[in-house]
Amino acid sequence: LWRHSYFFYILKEMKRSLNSSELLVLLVVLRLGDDAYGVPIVEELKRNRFKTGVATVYVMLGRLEAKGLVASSVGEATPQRGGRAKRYFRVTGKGLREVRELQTTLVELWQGVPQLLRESV
Amino acid sequence: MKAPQPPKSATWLLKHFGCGADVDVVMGDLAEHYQQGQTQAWYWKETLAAIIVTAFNEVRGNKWLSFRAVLVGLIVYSYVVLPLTSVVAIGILDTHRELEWRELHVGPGNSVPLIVLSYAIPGILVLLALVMGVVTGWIVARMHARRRAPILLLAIAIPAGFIIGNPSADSFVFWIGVAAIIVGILLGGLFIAGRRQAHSPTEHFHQVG
Repeated sequence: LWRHSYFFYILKEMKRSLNSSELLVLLVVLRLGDDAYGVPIVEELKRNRFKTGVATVYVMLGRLEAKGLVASSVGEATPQRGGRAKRYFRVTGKGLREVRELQTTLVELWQGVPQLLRESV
Repeated sequence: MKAPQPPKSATWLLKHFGCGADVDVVMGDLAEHYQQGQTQAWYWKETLAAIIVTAFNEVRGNKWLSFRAVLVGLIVYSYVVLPLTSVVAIGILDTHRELEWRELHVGPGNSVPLIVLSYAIPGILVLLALVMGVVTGWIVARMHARRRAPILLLAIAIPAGFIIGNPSADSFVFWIGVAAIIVGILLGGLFIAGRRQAHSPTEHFHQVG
């Protein structure tokens, strides 16, 4: 019984945990601050060597929103957008905590790996 | 100077086949990006990617509904539409055979109907395939009006894969027939969509002017 419950715990954790692209999107939303909507997010990701489509970003943001890590609000509509509204995103307190935890874990793990030292690459 | 407008056909496709609550926002983002100097090829690529990505996401999020849609599509196609249209097709082919037999054994009479029918048969069969698609697409879309776009794309993908995998597929008319079924499914599904959108209060919710 314990084994089974552990299996379900892993499944639950897998659903809850962030994948690398979701972490990148979260970081970009944090960097952009009040201007975090589709176009700047895609541009910022591209600037950081992560090419992705607009729709893919929205799918990821949808997943992050379902996990409670980001929140969204409808913004203004402009003629440039064919009269369609923007959707702005911001990272929630829970999202920020999650990013900090991951940062701590990653930094700790990185420090102990000699292959990842800049000189050895 | 007037700002460049994105390709209308691509926008139309995204409007009708894009899924989820964010389609309108994605369309706005693409329009904005396009006006900032992106190419038509980029717009088309993003549009097709958006249709596939959002449909996949919807299907993944609604597994049971998608399974039911595929099942409904296959049942309607295999047990209702295909037998009915086959009866018509067999009737036409029998008439053609009978006319041919008469020409051979009774002697050349009035050969005009035979010639006309010989040329018309491929067209009639393709037309029947189109009708089959329209009826299947209409029923599937009617049963899944809320998730119409991903369900329709699924309805196209599965029979297409099933038919393409058929080793006996070797004639040109067969491929045109497959294309006609696919177009028919889209037409049948969109017929419902057009009527639904005309009455939808949320359609222009985020739009200005």
